[in-house]
Amino acid sequence: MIQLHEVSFSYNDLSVLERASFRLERGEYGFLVGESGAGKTTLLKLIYGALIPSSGSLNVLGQSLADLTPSTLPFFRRKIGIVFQDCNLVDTETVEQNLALPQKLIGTKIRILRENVDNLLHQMGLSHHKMSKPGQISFNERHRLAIARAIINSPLLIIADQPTEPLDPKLTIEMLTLFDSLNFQGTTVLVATSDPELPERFMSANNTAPKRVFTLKDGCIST
Amino acid sequence: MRYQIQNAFVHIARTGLHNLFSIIALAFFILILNAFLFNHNTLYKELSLRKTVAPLIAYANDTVAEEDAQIFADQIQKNNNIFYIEYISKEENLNRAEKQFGSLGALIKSGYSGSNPFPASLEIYFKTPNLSRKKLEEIAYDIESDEKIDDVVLTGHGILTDIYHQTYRTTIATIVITVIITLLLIRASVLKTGRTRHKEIQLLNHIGATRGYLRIPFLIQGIFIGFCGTTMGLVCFYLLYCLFTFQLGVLEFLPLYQLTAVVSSGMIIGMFAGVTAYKKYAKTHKKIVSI
Repeated sequence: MIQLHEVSFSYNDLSVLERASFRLERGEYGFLVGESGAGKTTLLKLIYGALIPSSGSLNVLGQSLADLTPSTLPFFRRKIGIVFQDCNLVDTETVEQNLALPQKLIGTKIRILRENVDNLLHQMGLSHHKMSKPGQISFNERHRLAIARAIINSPLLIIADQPTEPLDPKLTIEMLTLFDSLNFQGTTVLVATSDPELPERFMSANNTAPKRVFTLKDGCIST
Repeated sequence: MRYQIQNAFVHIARTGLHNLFSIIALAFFILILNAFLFNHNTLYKELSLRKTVAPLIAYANDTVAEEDAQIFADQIQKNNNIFYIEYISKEENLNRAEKQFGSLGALIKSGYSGSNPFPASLEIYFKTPNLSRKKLEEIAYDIESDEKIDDVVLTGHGILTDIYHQTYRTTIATIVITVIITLLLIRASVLKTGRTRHKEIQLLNHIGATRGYLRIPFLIQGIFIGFCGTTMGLVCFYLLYCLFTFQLGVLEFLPLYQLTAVVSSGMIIGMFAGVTAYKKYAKTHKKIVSI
């Protein structure tokens, strides 16, 4: 599902990844653990094609990223749900409109779109903020909205860039459990975190099956 | 498509003041262009009406017999520019005066104790319908130098032609200037909106928006400003036309094909401005739009 083979990447002269390799199978739930600045965000950006590796090969959702063209890249990205580190919400749009963006992209009919948005807002406890702007809701709620937006199109793969970092411990477990339920339905999940104990904490709190944990350190990935 | 149109109008409203300024500025330039078009149309119509009037009339000396005048007419007809010459006898000119001036014509006749005071004339028509005044004056000078001719008058055709040519050139220049200004105004507005949407565009690109999806709101905005600006300009011009109709007399408003051309050109230029604005935006934010 996600396969990195000796991928290297550097920003100008600063090497971030050096011949990094890992493999996350379809339907797996993985954690990418690394200290702040270790290159987690860079790695995730490589996975959804926002960056191009200096060398090595990436295969995501059965698609070699080297074969993607500007016209096929958007359709590839639509299969991935991304939870951005800084939420990346559109401040000028309402909560409802922010959540509807991915559905509009794929041309969902207005009636179905409203239904999906309402259901998800209810599920995420954001119904009462439907018409609020992202600036008017709490930090936790902004993150919940970002997660909701990532999952609204039922993606095949969810990649989350430190989605639980600003959340309180209870909500962190709740969010990871939500990903777990999606994973149970067959969605592959990769969560990046700088908290090395989070995977263990989640597994023990949730009494769930063991998850894959990848550690990113000095540009290399170890299992 | 529905979402893109919806999205485009939401953002047009968001940068409303800037767009409104562009629409008003565009309307102002369209108003000026319309004034030139109106002027051009009026002169063109006037020139068309004058086609039946000879641009030059040469009056023969009273001593010249009709046969001699005809021979002279044949001689000067060899001039390449002359299409044909119509000989009007003294009697014909008198009849015309009587017809034109009614009882006043009879008064003129009686004033000259029954004799005909009107000279015979040669009405000269040219192959090239719209000769300049300078050219007509040169021909008139040549004809007048002959002793059989008493006087040569220009009927105003040449002046009208000169004014028409000047108006035509000015109108073309105004069209070119208006097109450039329209393009720049709309492009600036669309770019401004693009910049305010920067974060959204970045996000849309990351979650799978195609280039077309990102480009369409730029095009819609360009077309919208082009349409509103040209329509507002035309409406303002029509109001001014109505206001001054009593002074303008029988002058007609711009024909439908010109109105349609102005509005559709505005929309096409707007669309083109939208495309160039998107290209500029994509070039400035290469990493966002192309990766």
